[in-house]
Amino acid sequence: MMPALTDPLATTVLALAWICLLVVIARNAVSVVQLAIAAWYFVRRIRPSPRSIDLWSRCEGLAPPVSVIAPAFNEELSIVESVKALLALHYPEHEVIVVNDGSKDATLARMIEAFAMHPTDRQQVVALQHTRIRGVYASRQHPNLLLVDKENGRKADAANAGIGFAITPLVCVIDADSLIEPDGLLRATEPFMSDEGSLIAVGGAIRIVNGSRVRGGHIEAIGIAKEWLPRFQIVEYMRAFLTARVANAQIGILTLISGAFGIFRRELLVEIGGYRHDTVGEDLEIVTRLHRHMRENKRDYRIDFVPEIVCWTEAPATLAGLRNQRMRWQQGALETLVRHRAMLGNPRYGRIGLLALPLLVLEDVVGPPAELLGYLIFPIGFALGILDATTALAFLSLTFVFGTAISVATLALEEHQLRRTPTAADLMRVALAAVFENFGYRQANLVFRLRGIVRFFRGETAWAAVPRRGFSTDPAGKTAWPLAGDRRQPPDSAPAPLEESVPVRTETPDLARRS
Amino acid sequence: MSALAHLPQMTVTAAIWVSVGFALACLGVTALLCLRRFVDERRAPQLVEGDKGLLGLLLQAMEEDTDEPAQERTLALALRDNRRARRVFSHLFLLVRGHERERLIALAQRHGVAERLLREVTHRNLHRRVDAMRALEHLPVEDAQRAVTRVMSSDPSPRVRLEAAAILARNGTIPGPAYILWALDLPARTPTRLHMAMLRVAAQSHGDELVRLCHAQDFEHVRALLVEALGWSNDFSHLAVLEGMAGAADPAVRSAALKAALQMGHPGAAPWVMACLCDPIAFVRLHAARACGKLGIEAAIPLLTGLLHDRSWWVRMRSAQALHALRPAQPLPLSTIGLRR
Repeated sequence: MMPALTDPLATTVLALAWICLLVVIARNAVSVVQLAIAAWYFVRRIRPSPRSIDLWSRCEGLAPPVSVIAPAFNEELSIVESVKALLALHYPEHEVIVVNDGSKDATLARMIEAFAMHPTDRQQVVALQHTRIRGVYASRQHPNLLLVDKENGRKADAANAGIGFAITPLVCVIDADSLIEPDGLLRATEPFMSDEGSLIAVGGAIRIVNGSRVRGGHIEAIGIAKEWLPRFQIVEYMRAFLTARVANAQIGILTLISGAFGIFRRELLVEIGGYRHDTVGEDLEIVTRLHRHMRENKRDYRIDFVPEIVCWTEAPATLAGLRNQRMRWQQGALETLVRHRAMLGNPRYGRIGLLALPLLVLEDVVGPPAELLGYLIFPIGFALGILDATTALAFLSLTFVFGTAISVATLALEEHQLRRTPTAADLMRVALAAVFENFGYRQANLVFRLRGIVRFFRGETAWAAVPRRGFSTDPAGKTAWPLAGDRRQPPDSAPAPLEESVPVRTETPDLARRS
Repeated sequence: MSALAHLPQMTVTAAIWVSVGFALACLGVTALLCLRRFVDERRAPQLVEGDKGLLGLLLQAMEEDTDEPAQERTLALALRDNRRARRVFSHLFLLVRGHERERLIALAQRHGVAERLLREVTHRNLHRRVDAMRALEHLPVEDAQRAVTRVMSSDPSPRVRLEAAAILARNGTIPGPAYILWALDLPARTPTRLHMAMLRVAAQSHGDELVRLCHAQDFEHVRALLVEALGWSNDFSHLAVLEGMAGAADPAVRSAALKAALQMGHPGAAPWVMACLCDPIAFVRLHAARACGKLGIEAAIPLLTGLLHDRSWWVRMRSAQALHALRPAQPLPLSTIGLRR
C-alpha cells in the first residue's frame, strides 16, 4: 500500500529509504567487485615459495636491508619477549629500532637490563619527530638493536623518531605488540626482489592472535578465541585483508597499509616528512600522502600487498575496546579525507582521486549513517504504511543476507587459497561467526563509527584507549596506547635510565612536510 | 517521486532474490570446504599409512634391482595416485645418494612419475606452469631438467622464465650468463635483484664467460650487473678485470667493481679501492669506504679520516664505520658525522 506522495512525511521517508537502499546496494556492489578481483588474483597468482626466497635470502647483500621500527609505550610486560622475537626474525640484514615513547612504566629499564644496552652517540639521519630525544642506546649483545628513548608523543611521533635513525633502504613500521611471523619480513620484502624500481611500499595481511598460544614472542599454536567478539573480528580482518586490500592493490588504489605492519622506502618517508602527528589515523594518512606526493611529482610508483599472513595482532575483546578502536579508525578516515579533499574526484590524481577516495567516502562517510538510518527508516516506513513489506525485506536482505554472503565467501576464499584456519572445527566456528556477525556486531560497529564521525566534527583529538589483555596469562591487562591526556603530560614517573642519557642533536626537516 | 514509489518494485524483488541466492551459494561452497577439511583430517592417518606403504615398495624395488613383472605391477598400481607418487619420490630423493639415487631416477622414469608434470609445464595457466616446474624441481629426472630449461628459453611469460631460471639456479644447473641475459630478455628489461641472484649463481661456474660479457659493447646497459656478479666467481684472476672496471666512465660500473672486490675479499684490490675514495661521485666513495673497512685496508685511514668531512652524510657515515672497523681501539665519536646536511 502506498500513501499519497503529496504527504511531506511520506515523501521524506520514501526518499530517505531509497537513499539508504542505494547506498547499501552501492557498498554491496563494491564488496562483490572486490571479492571477484581478489578471487581472480588468488586463482591466477604464482604462489610464493619458500624455495624461491631461499635463493635470494642466502645471497649476501642481495636482500634489501630493513630497519624494523617498534614504537613502545608502557610495554614493560612484553617488550623483552617482543624484541627477542624481532631480533630472531629470519632475514639476512635487519636492524631493530625500539622507540620508547616516554613510557611511564619500566619499559626502558627492562630493555637496558635484558639486552645489556649502553648509551651511544649514534646520530639521526634526519629528525622528523616533534619531541626531544632523551637518549640512544646500543646493545653489547646485539649489534643490530638500537633503543631510542624519547619524550612522549604519539605512535606517529615515535615512528618518525625511529625512521630518523634508520639507515637502511627499507623501514618496517610495526606495533611493539605485533607478532611478526618468523619469515614474515622475508615474505613481505619479496616484492622488492622483482621490483624494477617503482615499488615504494608493501602491506601484509594481519590476523587476530586471540585464542592462539603465544610463547617468547612467537605463536606456538594457532587457535580461535572462545569469545565471539574476537571471532567476529577474525572474519572482519579476513574481509579487509583478503578481499578489499588484495583487490585494491591489484587495481592500484591501495590507500591503507595497517599501522601494525608496513614496509616503506625510507627515503620517501623522509621526503614527505614522515607520519603526521595531528591525526589519529596516521597509517591511512601516510599512504594517501604518498600517493599524492608521487602523483603531484609525476613519478612512477606502485604500492603492493602480500596476502599471506605476515603479522598477528591482538583484537579488543571487550565492546569498550572495540568502540574506541572503531571510533578512532573512523575519525582517522575522515581526517584524511578532509586533509586530502583536493584529491577527491580530481583527475590529476588518477584512480586515487577518481576511485579510491570516492570509495572511502562511500565506505566511511556515507555508508555507516545510511545503513544505520535504514534500520530505523524501513521499519518505521513499513509501520506507517509508507513502504511495502517487499521493500523493507529488500533492505534487510541487502544488509543481513548479503553481508553474510560476503563474509562467508571471504572465508571460503581463505580456506581454498591459504588454509590458515587450524582445524575443521575452527573453520566451522569462524563460519558461524561469519553468519552471526551480521546480527548485532555489524550494527554495533556502525554505531561506533557514527560516534567516530561525531568525534571528528567535534574536533576531539584525545586518543581513545584500546584495552588489551596481552599474550600472557597475567591478569593485569596492558594498554597499547593510553588517552591523549596521559600522553601529553610530561612523564613524571618515567624511570630514570640506568646510565646517563646522551643528548642528541635534532634538526627541523627542511623539506615541506605537509601536503 | 511517483517513479520512486513504483518503478523499483522489480529492482526490490531482484535485490531479495540476488541476496538470498548469493548467500545460499556462498554458504554451500563454504559448507563443502568445511566438509573437505573434515574429510582431510579424518583421512590424514590413512594418507600417512599409504605413503609409508609406497615408500616400502619403492625401497624394496631399489634394493632388489629387478624388474619382475609381478613386483612391477604392484608398484605401478601403488603409483597410480600421482600426487602420492610425487610426494614419496620427492621425499626419497632428499634422502638417497649415489647408486640408490640412480636407481630411484630409473624407477621414476620407468613409471612416468614426472609425465603429468611435464605436460603441465606448457599449461595455458601461468601459475599451473610454475607449480608444475616447482614440483619437477624435486624430481631430478633428466626430462624434468630439460623441460625447465626449455621453459626458461621459450615461455611467453617473463615471470615464468624467471621462475624457471630460479629453479635451475637452485639446482646448480643454471646456464651461462649470456643465455640468462637472452632468456630473461635483460637487454629490454630493467634488471631486478632476482636477475642479480641468477647471475651471481652463474658466475660460480661461468666466470670467464662473464668477463667476456663485461667487455662486450652489446651489454653496456647491464655491465654494472655483470661486473658485480664477477665478485661471486671466486676466481682471483678476475681482480684485474675489476680493476679495469673501477676506472670505467659509468659510476654504476665503478661501484659494482668495488662491491665485487669486497665480495672477493682479496687484499690485492687495495690500491684501486683506495683510489676510488677520491671518486667525484658520492655513492662510489661510499662503496669504496665500505670496502676499505671490510677488506682491512689500513693504508686508507688518512683518506677515510678526510672523508669524515665529506659533503654526503652517507659517505661520512660509512667512513666512520670503516675507521671503526680498522682501528677499534680508537673509537670515533659518531657525533663528528653530524646530521644530514
